[in-house]
Amino acid sequence: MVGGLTLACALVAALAAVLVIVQKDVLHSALALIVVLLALAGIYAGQGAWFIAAIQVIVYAGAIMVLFMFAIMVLESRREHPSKLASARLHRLAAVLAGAALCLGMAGSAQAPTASVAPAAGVPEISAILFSEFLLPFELVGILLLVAVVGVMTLTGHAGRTE
Amino acid sequence: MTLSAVLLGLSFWLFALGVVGVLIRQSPLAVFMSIELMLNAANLLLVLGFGKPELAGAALHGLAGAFIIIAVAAAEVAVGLAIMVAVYRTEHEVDLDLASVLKG
Repeated sequence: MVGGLTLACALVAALAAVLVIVQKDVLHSALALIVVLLALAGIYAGQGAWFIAAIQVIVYAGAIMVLFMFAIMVLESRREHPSKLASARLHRLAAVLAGAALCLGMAGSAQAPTASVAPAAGVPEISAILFSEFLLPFELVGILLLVAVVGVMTLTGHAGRTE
Repeated sequence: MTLSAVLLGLSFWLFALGVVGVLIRQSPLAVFMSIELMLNAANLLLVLGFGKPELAGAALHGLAGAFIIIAVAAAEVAVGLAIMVAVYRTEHEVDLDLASVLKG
């Protein structure tokens, strides 16, 4: 049952990820990315990582994608212009080949792990790790978020004052 | 083919698609979304490690890492979109070909 749901989520994520890349309209790309993120949240839940699944939905599919939608609507850059670079078509071919080679290389170098029953990890277990062994990275992330907020205010606010 | 192998393949697939997207897309917003795909591929791997009993002691570390990656991704997106707004104010268009002000 859980395996079937996880497989379905994996299929949806794989197909929607293709849509993210091939859609010409950036807004459609964003919608497909939301589908990918939600499917990944389903996979996390199937692995027993409920907390990460919830964070994925709330922060990623919620906050980050709303920010994306906001930027797309504000910047009105939905359609991509044809590239002005001379050999863009060649670049695209090279990019697709590089991606395929990367995928093959990683698949070749990895050994498939054995299937297992996932233990359940709730908020207490994760927070116990976060506030003991991961205390320094946790605090650094807090500082990073603060610096990001101040930086965003400086970037967008300063440009507005000079006009 | 076990379920873990399928999910491992999905992680590879997402990462490779992210690389392709970064290289072929013109809009910086689409490039950002491709970067998100790559971050999610890494997160999927971290959470997959959690399901392995032989990693019992270290399994929760993967979840903590995934948590931190999500927080860093949020900061990255906020700063990146702010840079795009700043570019839009000077160029009145968001296109990676036009964002060459810093080019020496």
